[in-house]
Order: sequence, then structure tokens, then C-alpha cells
Amino acid sequence: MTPETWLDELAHELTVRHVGADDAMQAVVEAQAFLADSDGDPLVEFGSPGDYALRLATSLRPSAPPRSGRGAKTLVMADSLWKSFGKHHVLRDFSVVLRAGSVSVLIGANGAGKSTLMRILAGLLAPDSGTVWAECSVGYSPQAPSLNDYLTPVEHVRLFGTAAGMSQEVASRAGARLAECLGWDLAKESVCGSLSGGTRQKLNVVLAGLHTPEVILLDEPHQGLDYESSAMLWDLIAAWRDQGKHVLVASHIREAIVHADTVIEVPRLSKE
Amino acid sequence: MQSTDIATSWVRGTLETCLLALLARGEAYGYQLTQELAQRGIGQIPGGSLYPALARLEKAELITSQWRPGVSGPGRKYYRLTGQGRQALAAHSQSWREFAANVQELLSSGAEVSDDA
Repeated sequence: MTPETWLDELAHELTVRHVGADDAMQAVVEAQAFLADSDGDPLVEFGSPGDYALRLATSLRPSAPPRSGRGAKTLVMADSLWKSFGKHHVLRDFSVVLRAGSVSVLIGANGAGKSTLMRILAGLLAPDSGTVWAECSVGYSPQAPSLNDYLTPVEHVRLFGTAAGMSQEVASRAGARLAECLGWDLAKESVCGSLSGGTRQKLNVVLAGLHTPEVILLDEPHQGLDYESSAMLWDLIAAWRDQGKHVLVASHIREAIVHADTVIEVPRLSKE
Repeated sequence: MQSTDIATSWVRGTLETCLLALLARGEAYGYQLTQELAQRGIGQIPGGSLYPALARLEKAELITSQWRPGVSGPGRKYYRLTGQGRQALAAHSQSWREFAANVQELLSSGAEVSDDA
């Protein structure tokens, strides 16, 4: 790749990641000057344009209060959760606190209980014992999107928005805005049955964030997304965090932890 | 882990402190900083690590920058330390001295490395 092509791609990648025009222009000129001075290969010096743009975007992003920490407001508190399915113990005395302005990544082996914990926190599954306290609205994106194959994304947005007490117009606008953050025009799509796995996943995320909940639970949201969409989703998650929300992301990909303020591990329990 | 990998992870952990220390000596642009770090034996810092680190320092208002037109070719962004950056550097230096002394003590106290393992 020539330096010129690399710089062009960098400019594009920075725009895609919502880096302001001024910052993007400065970053490109600075990289150009560096390459001219060092006579180096851009891929060796900076890595791929997408990767470098993501790192720069992360560094440039304003770190808005409130940040996670002991001072930040507690949004959800789960205390001493126990859950078994038959003889299989999934959660044993598991406690977690989700605070405002933070991203947590939930890690654990497949089958360790990440999805079970998510469903309990979303209020869709009762623990065998223990309590979940939530003084806020919660949005939930399940691992397997529960979409109706015969409805379009726009119809889903209206349906979910209405259920959350929004007018259809407000819901449609909010849905279109969120979809745009993921580089997607949802109005163009036909029924969900014809969508790819990645696009269904995007709709799933849009529906979770539609009613601007304070806590957003995303179960394996990057599944099926291509590299660029995945980077855009991390940007959206960071933006939600900066708005003071708590975003809990379940992931079996360990690299996800670089985006986390807190890492929560669900230990795999043996059968008894 | 290769020894070069270890050195790379040390540089990664101390890059921002090193940049503050270099800028305390005077303003400089990105490529100059990498040259200086290489000459001092600290390591070859790729541009891909350098500029995000400078962006973080600037966002934290520890450094500030100014564009100057290039004589030939692209313009350059010169970075300089702020008052806040000077204070941060003093704090970093102090905690680095303590940390390095502790590591040094640990390394010299358990000096005999067994080959049995």
C-alpha cells in the first residue's frame, strides 16, 4: 500500500469513527509528515488505517463525567444470585453492581452463565435466590435476536417504541439515529426474514437502546458484524457510557476487555 | 516471552511519562520525539503508538500543540509541556523512582535464579 493510499484510507476511517473534521485533518497531515521524515512503511509504522483510526478516536474522545467509580450512581445491584438448571449450577452466590457512566465486559467460557445473568438482570428470568435492585430503565439485546421475520426493521422500531411508551414518530427517529451510528439505513430494508445475521444483530442493538435506557445489556452484540461495524458499535457503546449509561457487554472474545472500564468474570461451575 | 517483547511492554507502560520528560526539555514534533527515544535506547516507537499517546496527553491538558508550516512538504505539529504537565511529570518521576527501587530490590534480593524448573 502506498503512503498516499494509506493516508486516504485513514481519512475515510477517521470520518467513519466520527472524529471531527479538524482533528481528522490534523491526524492525516501529522501522519503524512511522520512518514515523510521516517521514510517508513505506513503499515509498519501505524498499522492498518482502520486500526490506527480506532486507536486515535479512542484517545481523542472526551472523557465526560460521570465516570465509573465509587462516586458514580448505582443503577443496578444484584446481590447473592443463585441459579441452577436441574443439576447444573450456573450462578452461585454471584453479586454485581452496575454504576453510571461505565462499560463492563462480561467474560466467561461458553455455557458459564453469561446469558443467564443477562436475562436475570433484564428481569426476564427469576433467580432461585438473591435479589436484583434496579432503579432505572433497562434495555436488553439477547444473544439470539427475537425478531419477527415478517416485519421490517422500521415496523420493529415502531412496535418496540410503542411498547416503551414512545410515539411512533419519536421511536422512528431514535431508531434511524442509532442505526446511522452503526452505518446502517434501516428504512431501506425489507422484512427481517431476509436480513443477514449481522444486520439482524444491528437491529437488536438499536431496539435495546431505542427508549434511551440507563442500563443497556448487550449479549454477544458483535456476533456476525464485520470489522467496520464492530468498531462502530464499540464507538456507540463508548458514547452511551459518556452519556452516563452503564453498558454491560457479554463477550466470549477476550479482546473485548480493552474496551471495558470493568471486567466481570462469570466462573464456570461444575455439575453436582 | 522474548526479552524484546518484555522491553516493548515496558516502553508501552512508560511512554507517556517519557514523552512528558522529553517535552520538559523543550518543544518537539512527533518524529523528533521518536528519534530522541531511539537515541536514548528506550526503543523504536511506531507512529501508531506515538500519536494516540500524544492525543491522550493533550486531552488531559498536560501538553499543548501548535502547527507550523513546513519549509517543504507537510506542516508539523509542535508539542510543548503545560504547567499541569510539569506537575504531572514531577508526580510520575516520584512514583517511578519508588517503583523502580522496589523492582530493583526484588531482583537483587532473589538474585539466584534456579535452573531446576
